[in-house]
Amino acid sequence: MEGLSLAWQVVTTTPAVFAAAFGVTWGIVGGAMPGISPSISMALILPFTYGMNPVVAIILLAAVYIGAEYGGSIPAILISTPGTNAATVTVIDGYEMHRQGRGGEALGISLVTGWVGGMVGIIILIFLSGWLADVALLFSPAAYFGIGVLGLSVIASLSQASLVKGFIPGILGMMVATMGADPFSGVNRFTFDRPELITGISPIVVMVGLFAVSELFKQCALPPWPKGDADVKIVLPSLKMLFGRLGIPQLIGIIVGTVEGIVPGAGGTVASFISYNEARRWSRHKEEFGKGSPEGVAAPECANNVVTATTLIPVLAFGIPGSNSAAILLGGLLLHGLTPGPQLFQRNPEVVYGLFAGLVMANMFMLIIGYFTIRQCVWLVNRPKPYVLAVIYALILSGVYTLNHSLFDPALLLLFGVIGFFMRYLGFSMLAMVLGVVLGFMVETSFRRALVMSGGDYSTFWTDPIGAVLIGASAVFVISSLAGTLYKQLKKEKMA
Amino acid sequence: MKKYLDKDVTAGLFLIGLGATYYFMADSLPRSLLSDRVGAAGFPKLLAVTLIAFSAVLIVQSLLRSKASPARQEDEDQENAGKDSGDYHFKTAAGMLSLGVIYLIIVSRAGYMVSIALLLMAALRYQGEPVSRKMLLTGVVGGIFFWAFFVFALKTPMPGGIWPTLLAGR
Repeated sequence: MEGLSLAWQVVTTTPAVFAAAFGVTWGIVGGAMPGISPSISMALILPFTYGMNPVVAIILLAAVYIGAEYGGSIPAILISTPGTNAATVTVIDGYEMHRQGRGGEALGISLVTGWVGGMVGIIILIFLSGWLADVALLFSPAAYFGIGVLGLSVIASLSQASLVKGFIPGILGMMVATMGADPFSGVNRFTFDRPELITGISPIVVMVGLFAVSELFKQCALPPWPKGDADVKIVLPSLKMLFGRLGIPQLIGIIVGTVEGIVPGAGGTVASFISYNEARRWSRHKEEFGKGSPEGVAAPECANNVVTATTLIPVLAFGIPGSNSAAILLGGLLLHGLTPGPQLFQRNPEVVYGLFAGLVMANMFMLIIGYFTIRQCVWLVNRPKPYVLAVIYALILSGVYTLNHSLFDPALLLLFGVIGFFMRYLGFSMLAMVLGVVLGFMVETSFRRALVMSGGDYSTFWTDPIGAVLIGASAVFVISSLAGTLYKQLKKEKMA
Repeated sequence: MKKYLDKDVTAGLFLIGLGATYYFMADSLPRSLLSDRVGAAGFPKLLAVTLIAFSAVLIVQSLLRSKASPARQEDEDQENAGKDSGDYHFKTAAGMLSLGVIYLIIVSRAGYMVSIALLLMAALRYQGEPVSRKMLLTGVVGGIFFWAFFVFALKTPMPGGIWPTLLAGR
């Protein structure tokens, strides 16, 4: 009841409703632009949240994420080009439906099943994150060190093609996190006598540089995006269709989306692919898959919208982001001095419950704005690409300046843009670097604090039961990823 | 293919250099009496050593792959490299970066409104848009819009450049 009251307070006393509506609109437009992923849409708006009320800022970011996941399906259905990675599988049947003159129906299924997935995901988020946060209250510094290590071990699952190319950016990220005054002794580390670096490098500058600026550098040399059909009209599925034929695919999407959202590193893309396959396996109309099946749109769209909520469970309960978008949201929390984890539930319950309320509002707005503004969205997306990129460039450089009113931040932003560009080129994981930046501080401080509390006794890390379990789980995570990679290589060698 | 192997080795060597530099910088950090047992340099040194080790592994992996059979090499190249390596145009990206750098150089003198308008027009021209009324209009309207948005809506003091002094002098 207290949670409900806090949520209601946030909705009625802050511009949260406006933030949710604007965030969804921004997200739909951003997600609908090929190359502008949900995380980039969020990164573009992140600097502007600096001066906002923390709850409103977090709601805005979460709303962008929700809008972008739906927005990604618009070009997937209309021009066979997914706006987001998670919408890739929607192309198969969505575009086929559009070719058959059923594009409006496909968009309607994507919108409504995405809404259902999002709402169910929020309910799961509310129950699980609170429970996990209660468990996390028992954590000691050694256990927090274990949590940080567990978060970093996500890198292993993000980089199964090459573990080395995952771990290297992770270490680079932690190196960035060590810049600034040492939290224990106050010694300035790697500040190059620049006063701007004494407080360290803001994770926002790193995230926006890595995700948005590097993508912009890449996109400016690529051909224009294809244009969508500006006259399209959404046709919503009937209740009979929604609970009949689309019932099982949605259930599959919910189950897969919940699991994949909680498991760090998996995310909406994996969820949408798995749910598509499972929907086909359980369908009575298998033969229609690939030829314009409504179930082939419903399952992945429902799944990736469930993930928009369930991916927040590890972020809120432990401070571990499992995807790029979750990392940006974590960056938003850190920007406002909010530490995710059990303390967030204790000290800032208004943020947590406000976020829950904001997610519900954002999902409602997705349904309304997605339905009524489809033509306007397609019109915006059809603007010439050079104009879109030029405006984004100006927006990024201006937005990052507002963090500290210093030109040092935009300069750093460009530097991280260049680093991100080379990382993309070399196949290094950018999320691994972001994980290093956001978890590096927590790993170092909890490691040193645990040692101070134990009088320098390193055995504290394996005598603390929770810490030992978490570090053990991290080891299992890394070893299983390594074993998986080796198994794949051996299999390939056998086949060669 | 050969090019890809070279880029991994080059990246590995660069990272070893970076790790070594970072290690020596950490080693030269002053020791504080307030410090704990690990010290300000402990964690950075650990990171530096780990980076050097992983970079060495990257180089060894790359060299071993160069000796592998062409078929396997091709498969691994596709898996390990950025899947869309052909999409990376360094010169174009460098040009776009230069526009950002020039903006940062001129903004404190020319002021935010003028600089952002110039950035918009330059970015459009650089991407192949012809000089037209539409382009100029985008620059001018964009400059005014961005300035008004940041200064009035977000209450952010953007760089004024020489204009406030000039206007005050008049």
